[in-house]
Amino acid sequence: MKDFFDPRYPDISDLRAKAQKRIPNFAFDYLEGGCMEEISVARNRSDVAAVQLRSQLLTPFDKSHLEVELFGHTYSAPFGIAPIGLQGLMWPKAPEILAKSAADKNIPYVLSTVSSASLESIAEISQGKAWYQLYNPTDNSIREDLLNRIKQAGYPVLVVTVDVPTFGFRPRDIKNGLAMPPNMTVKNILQMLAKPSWLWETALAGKPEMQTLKPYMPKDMPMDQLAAFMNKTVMGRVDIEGLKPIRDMWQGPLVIKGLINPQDVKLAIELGADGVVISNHGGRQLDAGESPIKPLQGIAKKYRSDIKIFMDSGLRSGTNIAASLASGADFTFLGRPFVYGVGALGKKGGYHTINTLMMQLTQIMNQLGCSKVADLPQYLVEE
Amino acid sequence: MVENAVLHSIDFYVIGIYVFLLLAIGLFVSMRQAKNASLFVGDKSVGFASIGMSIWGTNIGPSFLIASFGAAYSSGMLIANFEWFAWIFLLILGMVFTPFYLKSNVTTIPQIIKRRFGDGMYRLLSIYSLITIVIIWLGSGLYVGGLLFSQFTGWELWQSVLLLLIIATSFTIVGGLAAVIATDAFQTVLMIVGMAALTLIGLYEVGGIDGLMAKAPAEYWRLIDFDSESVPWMSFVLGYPIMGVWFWCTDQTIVQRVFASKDVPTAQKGILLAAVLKILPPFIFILPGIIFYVLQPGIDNTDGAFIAMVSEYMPIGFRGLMIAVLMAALISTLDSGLNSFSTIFTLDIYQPMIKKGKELSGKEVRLIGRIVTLAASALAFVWALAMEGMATNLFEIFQTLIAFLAPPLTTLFLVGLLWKRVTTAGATYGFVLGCITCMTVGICSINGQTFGLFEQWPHFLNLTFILFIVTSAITIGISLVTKHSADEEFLPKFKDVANTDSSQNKSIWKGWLILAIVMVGLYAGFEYLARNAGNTSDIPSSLPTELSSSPTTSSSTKKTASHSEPLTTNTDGLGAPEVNVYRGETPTFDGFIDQNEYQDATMLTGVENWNPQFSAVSDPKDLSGTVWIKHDGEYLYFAFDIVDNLMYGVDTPRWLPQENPNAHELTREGFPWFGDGVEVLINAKNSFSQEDGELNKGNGHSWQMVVSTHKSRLGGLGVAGLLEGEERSMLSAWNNYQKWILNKDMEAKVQIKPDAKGYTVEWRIRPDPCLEISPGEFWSADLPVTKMGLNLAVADLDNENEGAGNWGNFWHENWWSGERDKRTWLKQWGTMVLHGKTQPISTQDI
Repeated sequence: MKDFFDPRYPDISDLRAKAQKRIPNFAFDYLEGGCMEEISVARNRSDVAAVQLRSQLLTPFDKSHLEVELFGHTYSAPFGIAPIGLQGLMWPKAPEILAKSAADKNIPYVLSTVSSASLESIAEISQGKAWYQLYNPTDNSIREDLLNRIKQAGYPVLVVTVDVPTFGFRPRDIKNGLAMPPNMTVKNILQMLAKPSWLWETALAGKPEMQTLKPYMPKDMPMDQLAAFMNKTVMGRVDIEGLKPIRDMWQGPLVIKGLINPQDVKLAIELGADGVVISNHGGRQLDAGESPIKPLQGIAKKYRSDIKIFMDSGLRSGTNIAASLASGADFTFLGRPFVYGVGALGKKGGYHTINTLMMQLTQIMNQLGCSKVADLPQYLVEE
Repeated sequence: MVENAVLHSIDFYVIGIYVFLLLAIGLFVSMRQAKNASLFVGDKSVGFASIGMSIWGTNIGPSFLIASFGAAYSSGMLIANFEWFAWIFLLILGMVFTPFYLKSNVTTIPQIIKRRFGDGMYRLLSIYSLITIVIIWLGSGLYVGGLLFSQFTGWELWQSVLLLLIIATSFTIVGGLAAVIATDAFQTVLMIVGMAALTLIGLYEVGGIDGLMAKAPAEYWRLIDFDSESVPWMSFVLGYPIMGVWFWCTDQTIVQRVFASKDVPTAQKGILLAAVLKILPPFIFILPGIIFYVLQPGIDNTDGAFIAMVSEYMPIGFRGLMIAVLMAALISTLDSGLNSFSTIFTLDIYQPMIKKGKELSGKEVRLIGRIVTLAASALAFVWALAMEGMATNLFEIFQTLIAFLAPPLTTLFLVGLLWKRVTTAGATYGFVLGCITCMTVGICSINGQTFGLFEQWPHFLNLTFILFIVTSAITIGISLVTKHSADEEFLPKFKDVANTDSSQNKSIWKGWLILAIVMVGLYAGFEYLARNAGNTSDIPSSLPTELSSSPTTSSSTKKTASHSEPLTTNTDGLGAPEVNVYRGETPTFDGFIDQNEYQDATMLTGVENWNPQFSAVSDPKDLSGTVWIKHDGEYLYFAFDIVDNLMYGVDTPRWLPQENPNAHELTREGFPWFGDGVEVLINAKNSFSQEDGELNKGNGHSWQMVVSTHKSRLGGLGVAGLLEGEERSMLSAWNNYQKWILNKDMEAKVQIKPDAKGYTVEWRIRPDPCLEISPGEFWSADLPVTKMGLNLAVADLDNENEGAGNWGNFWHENWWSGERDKRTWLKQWGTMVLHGKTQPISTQDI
């Protein structure tokens, strides 16, 4: 199972096509969609695609190693599973499936605060290897309670997402009236009936709910009010001052996610953060945003010795991962490809996607003649 | 009766499609069959799949559906024994009785008896059969089905019954058994699909398989329970076979499908299919009952559980599907009953008794058959409506009587047909005396009449067994002292009729063997579940107390029901708070809130933190309070205990707002809420649009009333009490409100606290006319669970200058639900979940 690879889906785009056939439109739209015109989503892809690598073939080379050490743990590959909210809506038990696959394959799975699985259950499933992603809990009591739960569950790394000062204006979700659990409108019911495998799995798995936040949420809250509730309690705008109490309360490695401006990276270093994720939230928050691969090189050159640099947004393949690492990232995160995998292949989807990406990355590194991940920048064709 | 009874137009389309397909299939089959085909056995060409599905569909009627769902709700899988033992008797029907039946070339069960015991017994059994058909297959099912249909659609009972009868009778008259079997097959598929959907949606709601396993009581998975009160295992093992032989092997309506088959193997395969399909009911009829128990425990009237689940959890379109399922359950049973009634009457009463045995032409048979079908249908109509007038327990009597119908017939067939020594006299006396004994015992035991002979009647399954022994003893005893009469004829030997050597026979036996293994596996599996499934509650590990105001405590001695979620939440206008309200003791209605008077009520605290329309409260002495809600079956009670350090009109002079110098007039121009006081807003119909600005209707459907501390309709200015609230600009609302106050349909008593630092209010509301949950229908405590929109407000007026800048110089007006300026919109209100019963005590606490 761990080495599962289905030759029908050698590329993430194959998984995506299959997943789209099996996931109801409203859920697939949430996964796919970006902010407003979705310019950022497209730019993330094209900018990553523009990165070129140059191989070096005649120097002696044995084989390449994907292992990377982070915060005292050696991971088997330089990529992890980015936090994605409402995963259980896209495919039942997706968080559980992905957390298990990631733990078995020894890569980090980052659990979203707005996940359909509770943080306690994911900690158990991932044998304590999963990371936890937190928004800024503006409500002090919730913040304290959540941090206590995260510590108690044994999460090694805390990721605080700072790039959601607003609720992303995503036209697809607005049109679909997206909610978790889904609204039983005629349109949604028809979409669900068109996806029998999703329907069956969903019935057996039960209604997707925000398990981690459930204790704090009023019952049966409509989606339009949920946004305001979330802003007020767990997803408020955060500045450097707001991060200080979290830094004080959390002694383990702290990663700030969603930065793209070198100024912000500097502030994060001053705060005492242990890592930053250079990201534009997959193009879901700022439609006119710069794609993170662009400033990555500059940031990496300047700050790589001070702080771990991670990158996400727009990565869909081993090629993209290599491009990001060559541009200076210590480690990368991917989100959508893993949900495509689970959507397409269910329980085996996590393993398949991880294996596919590892195979792709290994091939690229072998082709380049690069033996370890940290050396990838040497192969970058600088503009 | 049903909450949210409103069906979406899509639901009606679904029902329409079902009726259309049903009639299309029924009429198509009628047209297609040969002109001279029999109404009663078709043209003897029915395939095994149709036979199997038709047996299944005929067996499952609306009463079964409602009753098994309810039994599953109250005691879990035990009831499944009746389903999962049926295969044994289907096996006996298929492998023992069927060869006899088909080789004897008869069309009705009485004809078999005629061959063995002659004309006397034949007439007796013909009449007996007609009576049982009416009782079991026609009347009660139609009554239950019609009632359910009415509850969903809001029609009158007679309208529903008539519509359902017309549908069922139409193709039965035209197409006879062939049409009945074809439509049954279609309806069987529909029932399976529909009930599977209900089960899956239930699973979804309950948190999937994991959620169900975690939350359902482990004993609900038990199938074999020696100490059970509802289905004690030993009684079941003794009594059920008596019922099983009668129902599955000798009842005309079931067996008629066998008579219609082309040959023995076809009938046997069909019966095997029916037995295989009998695996399903526990999964799709009983499991959802268990799921619903987990979702919503504590419903007393379990007959209402099915409807409650459908109306609360089924989405748009699926409610229509479930109504179609109910209709299918009814129609597939009803049409079969009508057809068998017609069969027996025409062939066993009309021809031999009225026509004195003269041969009837095919045309004549069809004509009489159709007329009788129509007459049976009229009889069913009258019978179903008569049931409405009967006391409810009389209806139950008919249901339980079925268990007492079994022993005489089972004796007749098991002993009479299998043992040659039984004489006509023995069979006749056994049957007649058996019937009389069974009916007497049946009626006495149902009514609990013991004549002081013993403490209570044994379980009905035990009685069934004992009565079988008694009837058999009479039959055997009399046979031993009498001689065979002249017109007796022995049935052929089993080995002569059963073609035991054919390969087809072997493969059918192989099918039964596999089924037997599956059944044993199922029993083992559920026994394992009963021993190992855990229902540990999954209460979230930690709740921040700020967000969940404490749920009610039912009393200091009783434990509070353990709800895994907070009952009430105050969400600063961002959510729809929900409060569960239960039945409690009748309080002393005097305006004083005595200690313990509301300990069985649901408590809402923190009035000071409710959503402010005007200034927010910073000091609880300024304004704070507690609200209790309960009902006593007669009235819905609200009690307010309000702290208010400065009472308008008591500590301050009565001043008037700039906006309205006539604010204190008790007219439509006055401001009822101007002053210190409380408001209750209820949307009994619980319907509201998502549009902005929809307000209450000013009638029993939805309303907003005010209790002021300084003026009232009944006492005038200076006397605290009830006032006509909003939207009194509507004349109809004003009139309704005034009528309610004057008729004391709604009453409030107010007491200012002795130190004048606050006040208490008791406010009671009579459901009729104030809580109209659907047009002409009012809330009652008999309903299991009803959701209504609810909002509450507490107003505090202090000195004029304190509220400067606010509208009307109001100081505070805090709302339980809803945002500033929008809190009177129906869609902004919270939810009151009214439970008919007292607050449940969780079994986990005991």
